[in-house]
Amino acid sequence: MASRSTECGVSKLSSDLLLQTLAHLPVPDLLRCRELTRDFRAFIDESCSLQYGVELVLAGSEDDGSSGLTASEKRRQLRRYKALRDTLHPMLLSRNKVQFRGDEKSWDMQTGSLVLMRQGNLEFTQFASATRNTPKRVWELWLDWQDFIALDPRQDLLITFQLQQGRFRVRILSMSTGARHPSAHNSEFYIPAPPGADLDHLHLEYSVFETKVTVLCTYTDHELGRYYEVLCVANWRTGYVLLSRHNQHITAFCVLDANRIMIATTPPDIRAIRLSILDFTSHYEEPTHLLLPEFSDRVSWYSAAIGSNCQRSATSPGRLTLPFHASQTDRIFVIEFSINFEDENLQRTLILPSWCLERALVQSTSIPYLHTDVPWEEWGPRNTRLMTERPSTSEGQTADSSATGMRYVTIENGFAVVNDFNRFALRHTSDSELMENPLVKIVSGSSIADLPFFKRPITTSVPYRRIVTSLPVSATQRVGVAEDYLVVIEDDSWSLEMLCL
Amino acid sequence: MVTVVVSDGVTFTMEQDVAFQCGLIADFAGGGGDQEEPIPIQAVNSTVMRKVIEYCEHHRNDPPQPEVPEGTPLERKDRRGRDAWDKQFIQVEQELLFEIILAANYLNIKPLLDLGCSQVAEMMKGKTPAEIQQMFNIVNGFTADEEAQNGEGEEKARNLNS
Repeated sequence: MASRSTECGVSKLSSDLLLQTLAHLPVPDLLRCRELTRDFRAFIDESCSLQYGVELVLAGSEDDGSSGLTASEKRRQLRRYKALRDTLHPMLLSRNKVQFRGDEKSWDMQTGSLVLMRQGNLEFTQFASATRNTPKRVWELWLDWQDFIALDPRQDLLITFQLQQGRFRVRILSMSTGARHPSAHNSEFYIPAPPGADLDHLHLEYSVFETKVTVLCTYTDHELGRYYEVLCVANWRTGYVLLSRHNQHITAFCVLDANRIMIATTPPDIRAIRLSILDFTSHYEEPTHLLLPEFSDRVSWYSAAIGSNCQRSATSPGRLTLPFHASQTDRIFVIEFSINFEDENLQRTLILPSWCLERALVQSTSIPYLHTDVPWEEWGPRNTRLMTERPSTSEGQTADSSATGMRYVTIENGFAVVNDFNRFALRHTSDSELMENPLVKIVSGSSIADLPFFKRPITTSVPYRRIVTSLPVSATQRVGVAEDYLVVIEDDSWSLEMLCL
Repeated sequence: MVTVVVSDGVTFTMEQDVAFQCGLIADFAGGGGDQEEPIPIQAVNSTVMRKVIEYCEHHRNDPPQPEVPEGTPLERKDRRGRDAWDKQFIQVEQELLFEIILAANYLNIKPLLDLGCSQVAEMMKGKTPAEIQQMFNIVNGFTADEEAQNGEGEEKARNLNS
């Protein structure tokens, strides 16, 4: 019997089957299962949907009185779980779409700082944060000519990418001094670049999460009809390239945690977005699909393998632009996407709690949240799906949006609107009161300690607020959220307007 | 009629409404009338397939499952439609049970997959980690340090239970 243990029983089940099995267990049994093996423990601790059930019970919401725990015991247990999860998903998630080229100026709201570049001179402005108790800081840095740079202010990290003979030379520098970063064992290494690429047609997106830097480099030359993209994950401390994928029509990615990224692929001629979670330490890929219901009559079901060896084509019709804004710790995923078909343009914003997303992905089915437009009110634990149309914008004005932590900002009818999600957001409550008085409302202070959710049933707390600000935003301005500030920036003059939330 | 051939070469012929409870077969056949060629199902052997067909035949007249709102936490919707027959049906040897789960997953039969998973959970319920390890023949591989922590967690589970 013992010799068969590896191929017999529970260990045979793949992770999604295991998840489905464990989901049937009541919380006390789930806690016991953590002690079966190291794999089980890791699996349970890392699964958002299982943790969610655990937390609900511990928070008393699903407590039918049988647990007999006192409130303080529950609080202690929840704190322990929180601490556990927070060590798994630290708040270091950062992402942006900044592209620095020569004289260009750019900014980055996701990491809470503004960077301007003038002829190689970098001007940094780091905003004050009440939550982290850091003051405002402004400094300058002179760099040699660089093609692209990536930043992570929380790790004092400045990464430069220089195109050199068909690959990128990557240098790891300290953001405050411009010298070699003290934590980097290898201050220089190389990552692949699209072959034959020239700077005019290159686009670089990156994300830094702890020691991992993820870069998506796309090369599109419409005149020559060439398209190529490279996705690369590297450990910036060691200089080791963990993953590189070439030309699989990856249009967007989103870092989930230290080991996993989510990628969106749109193979040409297939009108479906394929979302996959990619574990780059084990090279395990969970395939799944996100089908677009509006086009369901034109979309057929494709097998999971199609993204990995699809035919390469010079141009990709129905190309998807998909900026993800995601934050695992705060459990809110904001996925914005727009798809250009020959005859139609589709723009959607999908906002959903991340545990829903994980589950939807694990089940390898189309995400049902997309099938109907669900009003905000119907969002809740029993009826959890949330989808909004992209906010209507006045003629000629591009909607701009930015998400950080629990906040997500959009422009509606010329005003900036901040959506603030509580970490324990479960049900949307009436915001009519907020709408009547269109001024900025206080939305900070949503930390867990301030929440009376142990005293009251969890569903009656006020988890989500929609704040319509009095701040008009014109077509030439962009908005973002940085820590506790709403920032409006003038595209031409780069003048700043900040509003404390 | 739909014909399938499984990994050990055995051929099964079923009515269409029985076969089409398997998402995989329904996809394969594509709804286009009778299949002449037998559909190869390599991941399933004949013993398991027999069980699967038994299940599908019993449930051929079931009304379609009501849509469960997607947000429903998983544990709340278990034992949906799990009647006495199902309970009896799933009382099988452990090895066969896992085979059935894998087959249900492969063939895409959602209710059977749910049934199998909930049965495994049922077996784990109320048992200590040591008992579960013994039942499923799992080697834990924890260090002494981690073992010490485990005791603590067991206490936690007991607290929740009592």
